[in-house]
Amino acid sequence: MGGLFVGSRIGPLLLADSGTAQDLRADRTYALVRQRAHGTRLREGAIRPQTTIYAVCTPTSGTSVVAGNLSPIAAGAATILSLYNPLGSGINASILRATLNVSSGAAVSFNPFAYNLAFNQTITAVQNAASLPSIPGQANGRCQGFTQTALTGSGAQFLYRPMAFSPNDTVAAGPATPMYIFDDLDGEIELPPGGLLSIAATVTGITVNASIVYAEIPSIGGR
Amino acid sequence: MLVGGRVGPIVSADNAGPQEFRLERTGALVTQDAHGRYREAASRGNIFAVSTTLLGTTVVAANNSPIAAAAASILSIYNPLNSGINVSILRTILGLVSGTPVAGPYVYNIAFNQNITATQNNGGTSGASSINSYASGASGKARGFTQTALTGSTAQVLYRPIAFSQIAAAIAATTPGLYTTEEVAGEIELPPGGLLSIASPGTGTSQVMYAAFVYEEIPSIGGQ
Repeated sequence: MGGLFVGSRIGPLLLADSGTAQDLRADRTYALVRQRAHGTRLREGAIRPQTTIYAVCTPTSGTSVVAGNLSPIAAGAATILSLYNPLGSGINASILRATLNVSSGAAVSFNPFAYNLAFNQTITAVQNAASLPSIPGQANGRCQGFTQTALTGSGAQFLYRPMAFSPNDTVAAGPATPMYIFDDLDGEIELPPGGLLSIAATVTGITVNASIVYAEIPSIGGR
Repeated sequence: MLVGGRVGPIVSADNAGPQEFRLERTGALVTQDAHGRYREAASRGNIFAVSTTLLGTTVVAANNSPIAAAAASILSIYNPLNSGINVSILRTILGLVSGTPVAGPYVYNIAFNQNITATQNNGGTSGASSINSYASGASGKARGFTQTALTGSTAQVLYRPIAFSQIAAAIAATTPGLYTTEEVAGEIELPPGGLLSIASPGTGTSQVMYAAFVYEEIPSIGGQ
């Protein structure tokens, strides 16, 4: 049986708002031409209770990087910042953004910061960086945030990939370089229930601030 | 049958009755992202990363562009023949750690119809496979190599420079950060047998750098 064809019209029209039905616009290869409704591309997800956006972060004063925070992070070790999606949560955590600032410290040569991952985790530690919604007044998220607290119950984490952030500078040496990164992950990393994501370092002796922004999306068939 | 649309926004509650698609004033369909751009691919377990060792790798002469047959590279991703998938490159991460680079940009080298028999070593660990961005422990079909002889490969060719030039001087504590994320966004795609490498413009002196590829594995249909 043949399919149903949906037609379109090539090229722009100049139209006023109205109730008059118009053809969809196509380009000269009959590709559908579209335009984002809002400049804020995350808005649809942010305003929906089913897909609310949350953030977890370190304290404003930052946190000092210690040996246990280095990649790869060992079982049960504390981290700069971790996001954990508990088993049985019923949601996936789709990572949208990560931010990282170096506030102070001294290191001659920085290796990069990195993302560490683990799966099928059962962490029993009490979270100390609760996920806050991007829309004030909503409930906190189901995922749990941890910063510089032992991830009791976690297994060893492994390197996913480096962040593009290795400032060869220190605050003490002068403001020669931006000491921050805004990593627009845009859904690249996803945590199913039991999933764990951490920001890991490769040098100690510095103080950093970090955050992870993510959306909680209902799991369907484990996805 | 033509499916039409209506120009301008309509404000409706959830589960309101069917409405025409929304158009803007030149007839383009108005859309809105549901989730992060890479979420659909990530949630289906199709996004992976390969990288150098996190502490960086020292650039050697063999890493310079163009990379010779069977030579080691800073970082390569290889889509094996008969893998059944294509590799669509999403992002490249690159950074310098220490040493003295030479002037000029890092570049992409590519080759096709390759039959590499070397053992993959993602992250610098022999036998280690690519890492899935969906925290599941799954491995990709493509293979990552860093500073290991690409046995079986032929000479690679320059594709284009990466928008990343560095100073030709010793990296010190006061050197501005030297790192980049290039949003390749599918520009480069490797069919089965395809090989992509990051190549250096010159060896420099004790130049240590790190790199990663983020990519999506997409089923090949008719070799495309």
